[in-house]
Amino acid sequence: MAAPSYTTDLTTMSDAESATGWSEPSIGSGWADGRGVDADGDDFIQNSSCISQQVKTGISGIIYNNGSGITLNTDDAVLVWCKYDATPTLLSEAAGGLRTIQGSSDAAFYGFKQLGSDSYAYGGWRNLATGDRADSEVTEDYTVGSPSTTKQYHGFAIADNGNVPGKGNPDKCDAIRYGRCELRCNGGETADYANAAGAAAVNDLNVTTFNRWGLFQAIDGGYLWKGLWTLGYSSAVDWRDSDVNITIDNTKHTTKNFNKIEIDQAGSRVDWTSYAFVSLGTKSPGRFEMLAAADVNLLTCSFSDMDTFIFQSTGSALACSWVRCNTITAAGADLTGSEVLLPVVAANTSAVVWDVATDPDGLLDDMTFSKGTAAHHAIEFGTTIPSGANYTLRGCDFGTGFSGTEGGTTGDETFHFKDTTGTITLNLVSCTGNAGYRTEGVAVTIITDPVTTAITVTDTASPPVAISGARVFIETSNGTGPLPFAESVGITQSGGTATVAHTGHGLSTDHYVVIRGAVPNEYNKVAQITRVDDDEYTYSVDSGASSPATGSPVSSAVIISALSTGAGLVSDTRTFSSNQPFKGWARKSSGSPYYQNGAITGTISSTDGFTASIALLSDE
Amino acid sequence: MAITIDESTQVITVEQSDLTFVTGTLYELNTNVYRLAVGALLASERYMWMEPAFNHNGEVTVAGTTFARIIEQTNGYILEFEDLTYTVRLAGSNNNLFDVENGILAQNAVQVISTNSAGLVRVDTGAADTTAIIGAVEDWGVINYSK
Repeated sequence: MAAPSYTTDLTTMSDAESATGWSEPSIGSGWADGRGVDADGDDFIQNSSCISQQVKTGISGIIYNNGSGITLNTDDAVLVWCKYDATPTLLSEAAGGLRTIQGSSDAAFYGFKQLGSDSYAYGGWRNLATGDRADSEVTEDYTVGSPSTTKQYHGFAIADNGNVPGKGNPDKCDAIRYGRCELRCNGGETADYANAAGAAAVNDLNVTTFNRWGLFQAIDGGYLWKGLWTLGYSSAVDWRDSDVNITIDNTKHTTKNFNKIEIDQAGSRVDWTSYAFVSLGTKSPGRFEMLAAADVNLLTCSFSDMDTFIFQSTGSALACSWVRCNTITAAGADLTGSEVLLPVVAANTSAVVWDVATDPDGLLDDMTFSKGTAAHHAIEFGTTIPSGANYTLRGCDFGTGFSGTEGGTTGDETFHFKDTTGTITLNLVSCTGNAGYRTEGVAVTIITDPVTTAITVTDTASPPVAISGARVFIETSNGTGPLPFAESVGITQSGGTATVAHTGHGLSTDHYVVIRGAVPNEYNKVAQITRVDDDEYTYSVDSGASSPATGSPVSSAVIISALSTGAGLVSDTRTFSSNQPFKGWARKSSGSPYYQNGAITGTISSTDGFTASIALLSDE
Repeated sequence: MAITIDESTQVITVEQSDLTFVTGTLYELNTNVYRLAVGALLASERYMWMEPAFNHNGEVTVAGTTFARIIEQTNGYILEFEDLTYTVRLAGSNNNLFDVENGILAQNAVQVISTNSAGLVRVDTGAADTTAIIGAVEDWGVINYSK
């Protein structure tokens, strides 16, 4: 990959290097004091000059005539560098102390409240964003004259409290630019990865090349960011960085989508370790979206008061913290160990959305949730999840803020299942807190703390040696346990799918049964089932099997039907409502070395599971 | 050709082509090969749920003499040879595979000769050694059935 590159889409209207095109608003507008403006080479922020003016009691403005209207597309904004040196004389922000201007003439424009004596007490250069009124999310605070939709005049004004300084030019304006306000990043390579310091250095550049874009600037202790931050613009980026504090600018007159991080290009890699984001505003608090299946690795990052996050399955955010943020669409990403606290999601929506056909087991482990102000859920399981899914959450803490009602409708249940039909099983392993759910129709089974049945197959040597590839079969041994044993069933077949009528079978999709006693023989087998409902499931059979099955078919639950691993291990994890007796055997006689059939019987504890070894005798 | 097991009736069918031709209408079944072939099937995914088919006591060597293995077919399994007119000699073990009275052998036109005897000694003929046995089981088309 190439060296890192940082560019922008901003178009410069004026860099304020001369007074040409600059003026006060029209005297008649009430936003001018009649003292005109000056090119000022003493106190600038960009290049070597700004525009300044004296002020007097009332409103004093500086405005630039672009010569023609500019086009602002969705989420675009105009960025104006502003400064006022006598901040104690400003009115408050609510009273319009410092406003940006956007209009069709110097006497017909809109004003947008930006800062005031309360929010700008320490003064200094500020880069202020103003979006397009054509977007419904952008609303003006003042209207002067009758501005048309032409956006030709841009600038800012201050309103004072009557105690204005009598000397100097305290009112200053520097470069005015516009566009999507995009920081475009790509490239990065070993020993020269793209990073925050590199981006800020280019953003802040004002020697030979005069940038000062106002998009990603270095500030004390970190960086101040606004606009669209594209990681992987046009080509991949390799951004690896740690221990960075980023403040998201309070852009009060932009769209919600204005401040946004987009990670693009499948070849991109983004490693953030201990990145801390703090959003200052609520109008555009900052969004995050993976546009491509890039390699994204967030570790111990924190996000405060931000908006939505959208991941892809190639992303991970381990041990991260979201505080007062909006919805996180995980989409298969690994969020293990992360916390989602006091989210600001709307009522009956969820802090985390899981809408992929992937078991979150191992991806949402050890997460912590707390409820925000609205009556919302912790996790939404979306409609993409197939019927019969058997998903697991481990080690999660849901606290006591969510409703523990199963099948509740108050909107604040811990889980929200959006499917309208089918079935889903959710296993909660070592989870704490309330675990209620709301369903839009899908039949939900919550299983808390399943137990493990583990059997190790060995030979009889001392010490025993694990036997790999031994086939282990464990089924119910009588009817005293919660799983079915030799229960009569009815079977039909169509298109290679056998449908089993089995009243109250208590099984889930992917569980196994063994069918015996059916005619023809094709029905008799160990079968992995797909649950249809409480009284029916299906499995695959030979499509030539006559239907319906005759004979006296019976079905028993199979707890394990698998080959032993290299460590000789087979296991099953599920919940039993009571102790489950079982029988079965292990065999290894498909090739040398041969072993005799090893039988095993026992009872699986509903609280502790079952662990044992089977030692197989040689059968050579 | 391959050995088959009917899941419903537990009938294990051995075809004539899987037997060792001796002379005239006489054929021989190496009972250990038969045991291993059935065992391979019962260790496969398809048949794993079925009960084990044999009790087996292996060969024992005492004072330089190797006594033959004992094979007992159990749990309701029934041996049935392909129904033609010929004779089968059971070799390689003391066994109960000739037991028609208890339903171990399905009687048909095939005549079965048991070679059981007290103190039967192993005789290495045909597929008696391990390598030959494995080869013979493979010939029966079941050795890889469970893979």
